[in-house]
Amino acid sequence: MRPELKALYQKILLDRAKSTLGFEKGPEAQHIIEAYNPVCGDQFKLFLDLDTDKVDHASYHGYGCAISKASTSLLIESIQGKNLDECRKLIDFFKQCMSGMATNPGEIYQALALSKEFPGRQQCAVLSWQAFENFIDGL
Amino acid sequence: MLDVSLIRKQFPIFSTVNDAGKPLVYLDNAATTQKPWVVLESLSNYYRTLNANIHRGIYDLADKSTKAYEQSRGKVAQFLKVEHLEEIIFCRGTTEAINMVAHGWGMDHLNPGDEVLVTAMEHHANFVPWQVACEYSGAKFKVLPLNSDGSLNLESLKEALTPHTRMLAVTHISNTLGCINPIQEIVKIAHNNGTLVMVDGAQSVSFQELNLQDLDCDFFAFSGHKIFGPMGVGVLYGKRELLQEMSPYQQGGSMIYQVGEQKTTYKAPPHRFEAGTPPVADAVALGTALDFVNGIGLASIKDHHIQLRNYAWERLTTTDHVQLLGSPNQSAGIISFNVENIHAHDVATILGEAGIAVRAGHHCTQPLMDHLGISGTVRVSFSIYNDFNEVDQLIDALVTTRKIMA
Ligand SMILES: Cc1ncc(COP(=O)(O)O)c(C=O)c1O
Repeated sequence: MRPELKALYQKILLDRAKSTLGFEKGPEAQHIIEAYNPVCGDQFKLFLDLDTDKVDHASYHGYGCAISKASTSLLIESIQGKNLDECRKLIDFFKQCMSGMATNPGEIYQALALSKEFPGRQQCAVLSWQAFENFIDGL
Repeated sequence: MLDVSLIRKQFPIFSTVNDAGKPLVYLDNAATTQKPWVVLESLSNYYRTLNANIHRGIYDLADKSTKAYEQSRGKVAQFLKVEHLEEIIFCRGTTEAINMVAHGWGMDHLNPGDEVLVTAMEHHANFVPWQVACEYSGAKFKVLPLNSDGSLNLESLKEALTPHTRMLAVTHISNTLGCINPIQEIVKIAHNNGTLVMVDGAQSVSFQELNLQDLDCDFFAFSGHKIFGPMGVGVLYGKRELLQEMSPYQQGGSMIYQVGEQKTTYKAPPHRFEAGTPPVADAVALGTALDFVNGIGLASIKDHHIQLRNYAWERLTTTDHVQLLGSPNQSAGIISFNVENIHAHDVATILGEAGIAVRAGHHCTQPLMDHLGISGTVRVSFSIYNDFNEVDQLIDALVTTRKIMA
């Protein structure tokens, strides 16, 4: 096995995937965003409450693989309390990390970026981020 | 068991390795099978020595090309034990074959008040076209529920058929669970009710000997690529009297009888349903693939599948944290399972590193996943080049998967 496999499924990512932080249904949320991958059927709902242009509360629910869960959990935690401009910057940073262009990506982003080494798995890493970006773009 | 080492020599793909340098353990045969040299040579031979458009030219080469194509139709007819050549239509594959019926037959025969019944285990290819045909025609689309293990229940089938059920769409073998449906019995039940039957044979052609006259189904579809043939060619079988009155769902060259400015008439089957230039080389190579299968013998092939399946089932049952789906009875060489608390995609990625190709996800059977209350499975599916040792490698890799994901 290549070292990339262990580096992808490293402890920080697996812990994140198992974490229940922000994993909570929010049927009453102002905005419910669907992140769905038709190839594998992975499906998350992102629940957002905005206070004018600030993310007042964010949570998510659904099912997916370790990569998509870790990535979604990271997204939800990172946007908490941020305004839309900051969210956009965060998305740009995420994209840079995924393409290996970020200068200081941090461990978890680095692990997620390794998904591109494995056939079909990068989509798992970007699933919820893409859905969130589409949502912001549509505001 | 078949002599696997001898068979593997006939498949060039097995001399390749993956990115991690591992040789290929190919357990995704339900998705597509690998291609033997004879099929590759048949393709190349066609383009090197026979290439000309068929049913059009009046020169020697066009004649030879046409003959090769029609000869392959004959091989398919023999393979399926079909009486009339014109009952065999070449198309792109199972998906196109079913669409041809859902739209071509459905267009003329489905009306508001009619019903189409499909089972909850269908591949999307034998589900969505019917859903859409019902939307267009105003007919009612009904889904037959399954037993809790995902198998078909003939009593529920009898109850679900009504005087309005025009068509029953059912798969011969589930591509997800591997369960084999008793098509002959199902057809009898449906016919007693005046209902036609469309059988999805994508998984059964490469597993067991078929005799469509005995099965008595009205339509049958399969894909060449799942039986060692090329991608892009497949077959629709339809009973002669049904095809004769069926509308083509594509129009164009080769299928017309006479074209007037306002009105066009069509040729008789099978040409009516083969609009445009067909995949001639692929159809010819499919004939070669069927020769290849006949050379090995479907009885031995079926036995090989079943032995691998039984061995794998037994080993998976005794592997900790593996949950098997479906039931070991009446099943082909296909097994679906999940590893506790690990998503099927993560399992497949780690197996992939070990050189083991399996499929993970919903396998184009989302209604079945809903029925079973799961989002996906890991699926292994066997073929003639697999052996017990590969099953052992699978089990070892599953143990490794647990360690990595712990
Ligand atoms: C049962 C079944 N039906 C239909 C299909 C669709 O076949 P194709 O993609 O070759 O048209 C498949 C294969 O994916 C299958 O397994």
